[in-house]
Amino acid sequence: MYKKLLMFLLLSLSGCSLTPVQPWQRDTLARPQMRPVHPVDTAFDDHIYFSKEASSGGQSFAGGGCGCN
Amino acid sequence: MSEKKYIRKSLSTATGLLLGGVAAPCAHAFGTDTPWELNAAVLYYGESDGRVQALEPVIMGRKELDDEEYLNLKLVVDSLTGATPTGAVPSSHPQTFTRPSGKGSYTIAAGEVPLDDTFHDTRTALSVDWEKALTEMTRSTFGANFSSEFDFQSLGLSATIDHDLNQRNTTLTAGIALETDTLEPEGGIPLELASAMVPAGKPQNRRDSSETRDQIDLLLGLTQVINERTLMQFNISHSESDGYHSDPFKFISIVQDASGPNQGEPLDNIYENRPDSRSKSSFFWKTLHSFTSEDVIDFSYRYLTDDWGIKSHTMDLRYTWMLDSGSYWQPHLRFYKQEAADFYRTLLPQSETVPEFISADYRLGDLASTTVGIKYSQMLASENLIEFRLELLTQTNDPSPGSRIGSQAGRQLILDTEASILQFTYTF
Repeated sequence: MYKKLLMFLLLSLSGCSLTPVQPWQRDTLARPQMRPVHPVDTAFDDHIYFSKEASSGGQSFAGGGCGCN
Repeated sequence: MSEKKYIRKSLSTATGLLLGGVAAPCAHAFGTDTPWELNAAVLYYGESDGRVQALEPVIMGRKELDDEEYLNLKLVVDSLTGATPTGAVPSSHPQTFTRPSGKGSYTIAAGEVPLDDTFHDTRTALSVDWEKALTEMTRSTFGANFSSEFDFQSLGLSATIDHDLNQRNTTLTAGIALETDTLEPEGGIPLELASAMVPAGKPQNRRDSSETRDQIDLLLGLTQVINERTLMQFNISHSESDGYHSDPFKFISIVQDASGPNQGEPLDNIYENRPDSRSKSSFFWKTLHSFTSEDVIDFSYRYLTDDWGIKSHTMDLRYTWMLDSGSYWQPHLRFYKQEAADFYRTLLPQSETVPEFISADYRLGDLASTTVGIKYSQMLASENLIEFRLELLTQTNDPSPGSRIGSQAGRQLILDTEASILQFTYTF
């Protein structure tokens, strides 16, 4: 199922004929607010929800290094 | 040296010493003058009604060792106290439970959901990541982490490769992580499905002093620049774990189901038993978009499923509202919904045969969480960053079907969780 999903995503993206963004057009993308992960907030959130729910990982690895679950 | 540089250098040295004496020698060995980027933060997590309280200070450092080569260090100390649900259901009479040590006891009032207030722990965790460019388009990250609690130790290793394509508009990611955990709970490992109601001071139903669990995680990711203002990330991940998965402090109540005045009353509480392996898979999608006002919307969705029967949906939305000064407000909403594990039961009627696997841990049941929060980030004149975050987490649970027997019909079998999260972060 995942192979099909990955193929679908790759084909969807390539089929969108995206125009590559050049280095000099990346000022907005380079802003810290556009980072997919906040170094502190994301780590705290992962730890809280790992302890309180049966799901973990997805954006990063699922291991917790914690005896709270 | 300016005062700011002096402070930064002093704190860098202190961080290096705190993080095990690794940081400072590395910086000298590689001869780079780039200062450490440091984050110091503290998190308070507090549940209402005297339940779990946690205080978690963290210090993180990032140092450029060489061109396209970085070292990341992180030290976390957790302090946890408070009461936590045992999984047992209320009774019409006071219930006395033996503490995990087997040496003392606590009594729960009639009609109250049993909570164990023995819970008290301190965790120290250290992680090290080394990032290095392998080629012009490929980067590697190797990580190691170690954490230690009174009754739990964990050691993990990870490796991730990122490869850029399409004029750096597409990044493919592949990662693997290994983790090995050792549990040495107070009093020992319980004998699964045996009674937890042996009085204090008598030999308890325990079988070993420790158990282990190993886990391997695989992650494949695709990050795509959609246009000058939009970025998308797609991950699929798979996790396999083997070993001890039960919670040694959780019980399940066996209740009388024959009709009569005691129908629904607990007759015994037994230790839970979970399967000795778990296989989890997830799909994660994130979109970040910056408006012309420079406000940013950040949305993510995760679907997770496992071979225990758990299926969950997580949606997360953050809106960064930029102010002219470079500071910002960031409201946050998170919704989580989970379907119960196949072996989750809030209680077990006496007439039923005890199944091989059973748990009344509410975290494996049907549950929904909502988090509402706001963060304020202030850019200081020194270009250092100061951030405050306040969030409120609410968790509601549904008992398993057939749990409302006799006296349990009108009771709240599982307590809702309401928690406040306060965070302060300083980046310099």
